[in-house]
Amino acid sequence: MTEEAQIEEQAIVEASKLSRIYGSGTTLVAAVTNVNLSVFRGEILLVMGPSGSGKTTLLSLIGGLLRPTSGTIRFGGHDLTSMSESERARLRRDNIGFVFQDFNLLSALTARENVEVALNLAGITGKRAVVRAELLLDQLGLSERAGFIPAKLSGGEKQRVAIARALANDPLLILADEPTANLDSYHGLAVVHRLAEIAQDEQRTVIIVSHDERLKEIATRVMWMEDGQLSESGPPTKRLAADAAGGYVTYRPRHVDHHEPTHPTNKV
Amino acid sequence: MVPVARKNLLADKIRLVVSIGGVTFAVILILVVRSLYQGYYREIGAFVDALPVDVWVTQTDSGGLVYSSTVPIDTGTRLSQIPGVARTVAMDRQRLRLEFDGSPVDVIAMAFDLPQSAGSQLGLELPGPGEITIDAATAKKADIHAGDVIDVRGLSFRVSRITSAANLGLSGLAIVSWSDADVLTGIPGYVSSWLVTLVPGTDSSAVIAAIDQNVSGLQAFSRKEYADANRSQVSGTFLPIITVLFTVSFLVGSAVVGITIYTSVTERLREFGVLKAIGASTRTLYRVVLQQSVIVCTVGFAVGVPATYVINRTARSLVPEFITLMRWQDSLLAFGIVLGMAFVASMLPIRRIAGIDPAEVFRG
Repeated sequence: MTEEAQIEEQAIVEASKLSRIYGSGTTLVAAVTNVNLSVFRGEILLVMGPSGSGKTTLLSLIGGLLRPTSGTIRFGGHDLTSMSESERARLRRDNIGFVFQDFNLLSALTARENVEVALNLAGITGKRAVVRAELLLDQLGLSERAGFIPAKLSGGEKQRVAIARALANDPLLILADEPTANLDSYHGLAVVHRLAEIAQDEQRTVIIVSHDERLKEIATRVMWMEDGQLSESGPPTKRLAADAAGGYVTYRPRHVDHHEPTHPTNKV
Repeated sequence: MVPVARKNLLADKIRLVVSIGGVTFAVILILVVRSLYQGYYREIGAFVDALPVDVWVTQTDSGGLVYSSTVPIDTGTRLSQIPGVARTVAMDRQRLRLEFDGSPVDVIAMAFDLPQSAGSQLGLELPGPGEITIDAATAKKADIHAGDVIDVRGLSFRVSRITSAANLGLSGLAIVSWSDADVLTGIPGYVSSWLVTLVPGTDSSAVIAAIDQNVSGLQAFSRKEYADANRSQVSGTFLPIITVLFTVSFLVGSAVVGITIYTSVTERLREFGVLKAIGASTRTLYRVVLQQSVIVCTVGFAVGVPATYVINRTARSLVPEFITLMRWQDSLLAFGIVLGMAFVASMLPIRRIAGIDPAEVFRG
């Protein structure tokens, strides 16, 4: 096997015996228990499960927002658990895009500025940041809404702005927490499509936690989480249901192409 | 760079205006007090500064013009014999309560042993017998005009002119002729001070040393030393008060800005969490908070400085003794204090931000 192929084989995210416990004594809650997980480049992993099953905690651990109580988690081969707070902040900034259920846009900033902020954090400022932010918003069909503050945007528009912000620094991994939960079905499906395109066209890894069954259509792998434990729940649906009447394109997800000549950890 | 701090502040304009108003108030308080101090400090020594006198001679340990001093009149002869002394002029002065139109008028009244026509030797226009000169601030306050008659210890004096010569800061100034000097101290054979003019080129410190050595019971001051002796009254009286007022202003300003910024940060705690989650360092977030405080404080300062000018001018026109002097050094001091406020006001919000758990942003 060539070195390049070996690198391609390397998981973007690799969790081993990952556990996270909240509280202590009688209030002790094991949110995530002994999770082993490998996620590869280009994968769209959908984690489903009932409320309180530990999905969001798992996402926070993968994103370096939380430290595990035990076990390890590696991103692009680097051990997140041994990193300092500032190292993890840098890693998130440069390699991970976040999409939140509540959009979490900065209310005082316009759509464009919300995207620009993420670029500014990575040291991209001035005209370069403006051009990049406008390009991303344009790709998401928001060029006309770039100058509006979140309060003036619809839910779907806000989530697309959030996606643009998540993509701002060209991350290897997108973490999405219930990205369609606060959207109507039309906008929910639009977001689903966009996430699928992000994974397919740009060979990014997308991890989604959601209750939304529609997301199974784009997932390359679906896992089930319950009582803090993660399990494989069978093969994903291979096609997003084409709905010509709704104007949605068919998306055929693809498993990791190990021959793609890209370094998965080149930004880490 | 997206101006997150400015945008956060502008998101609630009423709160922004209130917080800027708080800082402006603090700046005005600081600058008015400071300019009042500087105004009095200058004014109380200005009379001494303005008189073309090289050495002031008073009774030992009698301090400035407001303190009583009695010097035997024959000491003048001994002073004139000291090498380098060109001329000596006797001065009588006394703190008096005049009466005008049934109301008391407090002044330090003076008389100089010079003919009326020789007043120019001291840069003054001296009144004639039965006349009195009053400084402009006192005249305005007591509504005294030239030609009015004032009662001085039971004697009537006609106001010959209103002089623009500095008043004495903490007291008004009145001048009577030497022939009326008895109305002041009333002690025959004594005067209050000697005003000594030196031969050009003479070293005043040598003359002062000679006076101290040869004429017992007298104390000699250079003009600057005597002006400073007068000014020390202001610094001694005002400085503790000013320190208290400065501290109060600082605390009021810091509290107003602190509450504003704290509220603004608390309201946006989740957004700060989002910024943390997407990779903002804690230092970046601190900078946003500090920028917010600095913006509020700087705008408050920028409004406060011209507002102080307007207030000082208006107050002076209404209250004649409201003597102020605005110096750029004091504005700089106020700006330093304001920056200190910004820093102090940021401490609590920064502590709050430090405690934000970025994982919270995933919890709805």
